[in-house]
Amino acid sequence: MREKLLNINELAVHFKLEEGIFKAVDGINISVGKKETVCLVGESGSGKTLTALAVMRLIPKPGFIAGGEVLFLGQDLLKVQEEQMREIRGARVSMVFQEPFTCLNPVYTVGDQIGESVDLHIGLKGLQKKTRVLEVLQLVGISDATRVYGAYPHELSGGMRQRVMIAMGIVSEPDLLIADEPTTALDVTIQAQILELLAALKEKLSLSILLVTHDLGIVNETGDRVYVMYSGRIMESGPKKDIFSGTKHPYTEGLLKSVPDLGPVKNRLYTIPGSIPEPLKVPGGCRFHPRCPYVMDICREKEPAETKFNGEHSAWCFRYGK
Amino acid sequence: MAKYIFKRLLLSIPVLFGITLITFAIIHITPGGPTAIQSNMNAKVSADSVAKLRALYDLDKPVQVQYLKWLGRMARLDFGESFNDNRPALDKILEKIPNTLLLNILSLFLIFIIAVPIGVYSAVKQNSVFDKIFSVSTLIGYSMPTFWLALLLMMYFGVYLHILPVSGMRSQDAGRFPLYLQIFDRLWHLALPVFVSAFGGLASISRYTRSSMLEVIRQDYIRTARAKGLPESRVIYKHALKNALLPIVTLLGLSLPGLIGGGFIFETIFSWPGMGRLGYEAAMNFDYTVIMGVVTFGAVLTLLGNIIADITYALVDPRIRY
Amino acid sequence: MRKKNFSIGSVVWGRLKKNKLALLGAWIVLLLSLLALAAPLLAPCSPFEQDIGNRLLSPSSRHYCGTDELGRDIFSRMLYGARVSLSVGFIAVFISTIIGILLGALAGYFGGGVDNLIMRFVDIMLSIPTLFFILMLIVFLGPSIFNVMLIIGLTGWTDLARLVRAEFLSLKNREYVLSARVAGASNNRIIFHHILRNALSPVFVSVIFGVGGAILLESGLSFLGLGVQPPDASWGNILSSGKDYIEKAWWLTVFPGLAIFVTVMSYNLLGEGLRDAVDPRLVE
Repeated sequence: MREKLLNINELAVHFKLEEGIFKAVDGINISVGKKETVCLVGESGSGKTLTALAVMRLIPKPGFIAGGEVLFLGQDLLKVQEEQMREIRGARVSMVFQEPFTCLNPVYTVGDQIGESVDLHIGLKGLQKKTRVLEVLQLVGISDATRVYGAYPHELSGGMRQRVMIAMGIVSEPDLLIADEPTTALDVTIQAQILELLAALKEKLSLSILLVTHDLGIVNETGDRVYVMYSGRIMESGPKKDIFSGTKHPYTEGLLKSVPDLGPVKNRLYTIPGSIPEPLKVPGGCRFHPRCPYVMDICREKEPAETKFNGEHSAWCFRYGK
Repeated sequence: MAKYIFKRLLLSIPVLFGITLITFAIIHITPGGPTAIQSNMNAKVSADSVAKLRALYDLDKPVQVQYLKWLGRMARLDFGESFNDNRPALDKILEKIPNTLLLNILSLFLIFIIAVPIGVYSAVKQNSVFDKIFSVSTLIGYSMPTFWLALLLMMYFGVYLHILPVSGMRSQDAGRFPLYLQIFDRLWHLALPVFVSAFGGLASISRYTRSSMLEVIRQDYIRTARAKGLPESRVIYKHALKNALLPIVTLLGLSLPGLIGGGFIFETIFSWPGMGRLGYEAAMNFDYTVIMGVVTFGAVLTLLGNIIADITYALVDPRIRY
Repeated sequence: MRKKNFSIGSVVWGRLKKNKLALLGAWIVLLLSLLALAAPLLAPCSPFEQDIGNRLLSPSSRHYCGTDELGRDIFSRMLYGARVSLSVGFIAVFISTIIGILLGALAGYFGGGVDNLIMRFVDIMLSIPTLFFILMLIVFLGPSIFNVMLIIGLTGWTDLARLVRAEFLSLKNREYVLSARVAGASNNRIIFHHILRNALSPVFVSVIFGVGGAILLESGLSFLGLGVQPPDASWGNILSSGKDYIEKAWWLTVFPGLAIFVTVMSYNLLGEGLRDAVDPRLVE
């Protein structure tokens, strides 16, 4: 096993709603090794973004972290003081969000917003600060860095803004970059560029990346290991090649079949019947059973336990054991 | 910028036209025309003033000619002579405008320096005790008949405690005071009218600030700022505040009609020699020329306020291109 | 559709029931309406009967709120004043609601030139300070209860028109409207049956706030002598004599003002409660 940078153990994120408690993330384990790209895959509503936000301790109200640990280099981030957390957030662990259109503050210039992190985490001021910002803008592939430095977000294209977001994320050379659907809002050609950029930065800066996405195409291109998440639980996990060519879980199978050029069925695009359970209407037993083509009686009664296959490949399904 | 201002001014021309059209229509609102109303309502009206009205509004000519003449006079701000003392209505209004502006600018100032911080604070501390007290007191604020408040304050501070003057804008013998005492005397007379006229605005502007702030705090770029590791105070007072204040700039202009219109109650109660009181007295004496002048001036001042607000907004919001 | 409306209604009612302040507002509104209706039964004296010998009496067990400068019983005048205030509030809001819905619906539904024309008209209305506008209208039409209702109604529709327009803009492209159109429903039917029905809750909230606002405005105008004329009683014109006797008779100022304040506040409480119940997103 590789040395682990991040270990998420039994993490639970709950929401206090008028009608009851919604367990959006219901006890999951994820690990990210050094210089590894780990993909967290699932449909929207599966709890993957909340898992990412929980690492940053930025769960929006009325949500809260109900239990578990987030070990970052052995230190439990859920237990550190808020002040200490701020020194980790954006410095050692940083995050890039889905919507580059709304994630940058419209009333401050790019230089101002990246410079703020430089000042905060590196302590550079004035000209040194500006030099560092220009440097990092070039690093994320922005050739006219001086123009972008003085620009407001609305003056930039979507791809450019996402580059700015990434620049902001890596300016303090973090150990872990969490990217939450970083390409979903972008055009296909730009998507590829951003993914290439992430891969290049990973090499250059020895980054670990936790990539949250719903798109298996992206996983295929970038991931080392994959976690498939459904309705707040991990369904299957393992190295990319095992997940893609030795698929175990029916849900993963469904996801793969619904991607045009990845699935075994080529002629007709597949969609998993039904939809992800609504908050508070999570079914008993295995959560996937109402949509599962192989559903058995036991699936309705009990939650499946982990079944280990060769190496790090695991699935949580009764087809392979208890 | 000059181009933007020019465009903005151009846009207000149709509104100006509309105002003249409405005021013109109102003169002719009842069958028989303006002279008929006057003689109906005011037995004292003399044949002389009926003739005056006839000549003033060219009532013998066809309607379109009347309107064109009316428009021409409006363009020159020629409202005719007061029926009361035969002085040009324009002169009577112009000499009152400084007093009205003094009162309104002071109240606007008071409103903004009090309402904005309170609104921001109660948004930041949403659902706290402060926030609860805030929402109850603003509710009281805009349910309060301000003229009643004026009377209560006059009763308490003027009649009961005898520490504040209840009317006028200077003491009788203030002319003989040294300059600093004259200024003090003026402020002393301003205290109640300014407070009362600011009162209604306080409630609505602080509520508006609060909801604007709450809206901004929910935005994605605030999450980005937190993800950077910024301390909460920087997140709120740098990233959120500037965005929340932008729409409030326009309120400066939009609260003007309320203040100017409200002036006609407060100026009357406190015998403050401004435009509102002039309008009220003119109304009591059926002094049509002065009334039309006051209404037109009120509208023009409001329009100006809006233009100034729009221009300020364009200056502070980088997203607006001009 | 009917069933859906019913369930929205019960959800709103369920939320409203939990809001104690809003319920308080509703009770006061109800109580005031009953008091106004029963004024002739409840008033201890005639609101018009003068008794110069007993002028400016302070509150006592005979005159709960004292007497005015003509010796009339303030409490009785306030009961009759409630009738005036409430009816002005309701009728004025009725007028402005009709105008606001009509113009807002036309602007939002047809868009384009119609929308432009109506919205420019709204801009013009908004740029004349409302009180000046009302003052001008009253001078030309003359002060009376009827004119005050009419004028408040005629000047108070702009916010509602904007609101209805916005609702129409967002609702007119919904599937059920499009399918009604495909099915050949007339514009009339689409506007009133399909869209307006779904836009009613914000309109209703605005009506409740509107009543409070109209009462406030009427009392202000009557206070200045431009509204309800003596000898008819209104809270505003009692306050007006309160100003004249501010040094001698506090009760002339305190009681009618309190009546206006409490009334307007209960309409505002009810309105806020309803608004939060209709759209809980705003409360969190």
